[in-house]
Amino acid sequence: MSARRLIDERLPKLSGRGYEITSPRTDAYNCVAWVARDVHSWWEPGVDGFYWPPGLGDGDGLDDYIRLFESLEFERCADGQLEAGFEKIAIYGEPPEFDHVAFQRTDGTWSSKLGTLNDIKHDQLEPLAGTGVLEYGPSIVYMRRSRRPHPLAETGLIRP
Amino acid sequence: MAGTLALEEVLGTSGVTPARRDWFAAPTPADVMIPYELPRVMFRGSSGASSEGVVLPLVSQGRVVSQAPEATLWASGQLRLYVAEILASQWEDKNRGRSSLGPAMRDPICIALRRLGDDALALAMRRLEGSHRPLWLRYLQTATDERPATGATSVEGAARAWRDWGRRRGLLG
Repeated sequence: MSARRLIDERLPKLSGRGYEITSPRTDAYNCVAWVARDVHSWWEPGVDGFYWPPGLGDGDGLDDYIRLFESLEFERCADGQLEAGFEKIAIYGEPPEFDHVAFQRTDGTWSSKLGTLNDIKHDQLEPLAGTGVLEYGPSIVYMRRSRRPHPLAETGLIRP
Repeated sequence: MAGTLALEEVLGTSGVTPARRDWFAAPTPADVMIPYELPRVMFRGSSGASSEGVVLPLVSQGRVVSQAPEATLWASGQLRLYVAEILASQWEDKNRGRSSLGPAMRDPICIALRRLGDDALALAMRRLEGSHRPLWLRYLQTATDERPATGATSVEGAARAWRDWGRRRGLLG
């Protein structure tokens, strides 16, 4: 089955809004690693072979992921509007569970690594969220930190 | 989806209780829904006669039923492995887009897989060759008390360590 069809099946609202696949499919890294500019590790606590920063514990709830992003110098902010000098992330979940995190590019669009599927570039956050079994939790927490380079997300160097 | 399954031809009578046998009755009970298309399969009985059917009883209203009808299915080793492969594929499919795999371990499909014991471990070893390695790494660490991948720094390294463990245990050829 093609990558686009797999994504469309999971996120049907995204299908109608348009998105661009920006990497091959891989299970080597996940969305959390993508935010951290790491395409060689799967960031998740408590499993040998995965990466999780030392000292953060083994909890895998939404609050645990927020603590992780705080350790990466993100702080909560009000929304996902593009702000000069800041990079933002949008954390999806249905408390207490964490589902996904998307990264805002410098042009205001978003970049997401979809589990073991591909990286995509998408204009909006809402089409990924919903109550469907395969959609990401509808609550979104926004965080921001000073903008720093993310060349892979910006240039799309990883091409399918 | 309706199906007829000549249960006695498939399993014989060993280990099959009348209550469980009801699960195989045709037509399909109204509350049984198959969320994924299942391939039709041919079963050949000891008499040489063949019958066509689908494996119906594992999923009801989108969830694996809790009364463990698989205990009946497991009377047939071949059918048991066949169902395990279907469950594994369904589980992979449901979690393909997930980056946090904790909830997947609480999925009824995962719980049904864990009831398979070593058969599911062998299946997990084989699935470590595929494109859902993080899911199966988390499964293996959850389902066993073993930690052969301690110190691994990547999905690939951990998968290799588990496959080596599986070979030593005779779970992987």
